[in-house]
Amino acid sequence: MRSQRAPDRDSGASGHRRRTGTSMRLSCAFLAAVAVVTLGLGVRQDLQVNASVLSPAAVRNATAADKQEMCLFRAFRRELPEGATFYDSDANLGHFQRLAELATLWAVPEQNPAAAQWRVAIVPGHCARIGLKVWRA
Amino acid sequence: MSALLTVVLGLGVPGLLPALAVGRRSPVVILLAPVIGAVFAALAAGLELGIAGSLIDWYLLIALLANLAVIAWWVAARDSRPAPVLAAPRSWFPEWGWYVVTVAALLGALAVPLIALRSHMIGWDSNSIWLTHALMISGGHHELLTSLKNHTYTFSNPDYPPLVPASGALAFKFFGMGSLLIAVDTTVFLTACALGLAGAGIAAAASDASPLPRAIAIATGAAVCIAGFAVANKYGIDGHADLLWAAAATAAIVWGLILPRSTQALAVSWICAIAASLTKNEGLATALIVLVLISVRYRPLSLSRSGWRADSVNGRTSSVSGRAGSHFSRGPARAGWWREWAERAAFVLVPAVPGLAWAGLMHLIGIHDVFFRSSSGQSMTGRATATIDGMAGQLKIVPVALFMLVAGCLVLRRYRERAGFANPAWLWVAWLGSLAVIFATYVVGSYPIHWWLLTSVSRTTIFAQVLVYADIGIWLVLAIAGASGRDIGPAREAANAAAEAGAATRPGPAAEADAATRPGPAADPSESPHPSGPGGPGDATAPTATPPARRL
Repeated sequence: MRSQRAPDRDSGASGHRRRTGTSMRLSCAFLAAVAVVTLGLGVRQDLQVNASVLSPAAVRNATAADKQEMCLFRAFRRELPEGATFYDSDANLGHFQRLAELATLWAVPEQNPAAAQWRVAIVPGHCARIGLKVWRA
Repeated sequence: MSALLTVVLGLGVPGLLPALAVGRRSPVVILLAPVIGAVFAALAAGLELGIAGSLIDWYLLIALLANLAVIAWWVAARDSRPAPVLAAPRSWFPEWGWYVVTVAALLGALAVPLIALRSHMIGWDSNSIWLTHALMISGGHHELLTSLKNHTYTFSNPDYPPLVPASGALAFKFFGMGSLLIAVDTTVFLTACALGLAGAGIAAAASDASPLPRAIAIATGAAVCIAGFAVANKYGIDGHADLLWAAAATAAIVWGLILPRSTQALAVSWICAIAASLTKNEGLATALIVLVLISVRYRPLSLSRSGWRADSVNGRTSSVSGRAGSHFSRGPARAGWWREWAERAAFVLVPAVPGLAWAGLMHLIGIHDVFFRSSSGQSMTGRATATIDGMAGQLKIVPVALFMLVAGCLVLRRYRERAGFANPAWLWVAWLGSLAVIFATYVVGSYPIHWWLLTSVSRTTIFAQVLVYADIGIWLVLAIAGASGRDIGPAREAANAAAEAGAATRPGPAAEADAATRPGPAADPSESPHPSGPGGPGDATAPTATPPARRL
């Protein structure tokens, strides 16, 4: 009886191991599928970002902004003497930051109007509808 | 094209020898070299500000000294270099072929988001912070110092670290200021390199495995690169620095806190942490957290009956007790205790020096963080609630990652241990630590919280998202190993055991370097205890003896 029961127990154990192995592999496959879908959605999202920033309108806007930036950058260097101190008369915070950035390495922005030799403001002009107005303080 | 040349030639060439010293014949070299070059540029900007001179002079000097140091190290180590002892698993596909495939896959994947550079976008911060600082650095010591101290430039966060603007200033130096876009594109290419390093780490996770898991690991690394750019949305390609520090910090974690411990992995993770710390203030805070964790992982603490005690990596048993009275009474033990803690401190401080030095320099010249200048007047509770809401809105991927973490720990724990990967807790502690710093900044900062969150939370949470993608990638590699029923660790561990045996007979720095810098990081026996019970995955192929841990 004992010699007959042993093979049964062995086959039961190996069957259990087989079932465990199969469920293990299925679990791994499920986890892999979740990870692949998550990463796949990330890749898809990047393609969508690409599509949005490369749309003709977006490229047109970005190119225009870049040209405007360089136009103002050159205008600053053309209209203001090197090393001059200037006060930004523009009340617009965005314009203020932009002017300070464009002035870097050429002119010195001043917080105090009395200390500045020049006044600068962004006004309607030829750099994609805006321009630089520079006048003596 | 000019920006690409700046990254490849201007930053990559000076960083190539150091990258080769760290990565040797591995795919990380190509991506690591420009990052090292950018670190040189950042150091040069720090010296330009702190001492005198111009960026290019300091850059050339630092690059020259670093390259000479590498050559001297190679010459010194030449005589003691052992014969190759760590044979890669035999395969019909040559090892160099895998390098080519890895590099091609990573560069190919990174080319996808880089296509968007054709849009010529420049972000708001790219203009008002990074381009402004790049122009300041271009002007030399006096211009940089006076501009940073000029209160009109407070809007540009003058205390921000110099890696991005220094790289942009180098681009201006090489190609002139005909287009400011060149600095923006340089930042984006550097970002791609940093993400590529994280992807290369994931690809290296299965570098000793059979072809299928290895190919899937490479594809996963490539997918994480693309997903990283997706997380950042347009901020990844318009010159913002947020994705750059996030990618560098993620790469530091992948190499330092996930992959098995090795000299190569440690060096790559340190370089990435340095890059993150020199990119943004959040990057410095995160890098410090990561470096502390790396230090504890490489020089672990263990809890003895009498308290915490030092427990060295290389298997030396420390008799140091947590009680001062006991360890101070024993000479050798006391010396060992001090040495362990000195090593641990050095593991944090040495790579943290560049970032901390910049922060110290800012403090010395009187430039302070604009975020904490005054009280916002809003209640802490209200700010905290708004911050939690704002951050939660950005971290939608986290539930998936937490599911992967729990399920992975239940199903793939043994595969992870056998692969020699670190416990995922390391990664999640770094993740939580970084988020906690950013959360605290929002809560105690001076800006109106809703405006601040609206304009920044999508960027400050990039790191948390990219890191989560990397973690999912690692679980994917392990899940493929589990589904195919093959470990990705034993071949590596056996090889490392052989390497240790070989290296032990040939003392010298190169013996260790040679074994440690082979493709695929070395095993971490202390973190990969072989399951003793029968029926564990890969039992049949498990090594018969646990290899000794590597002495760094």
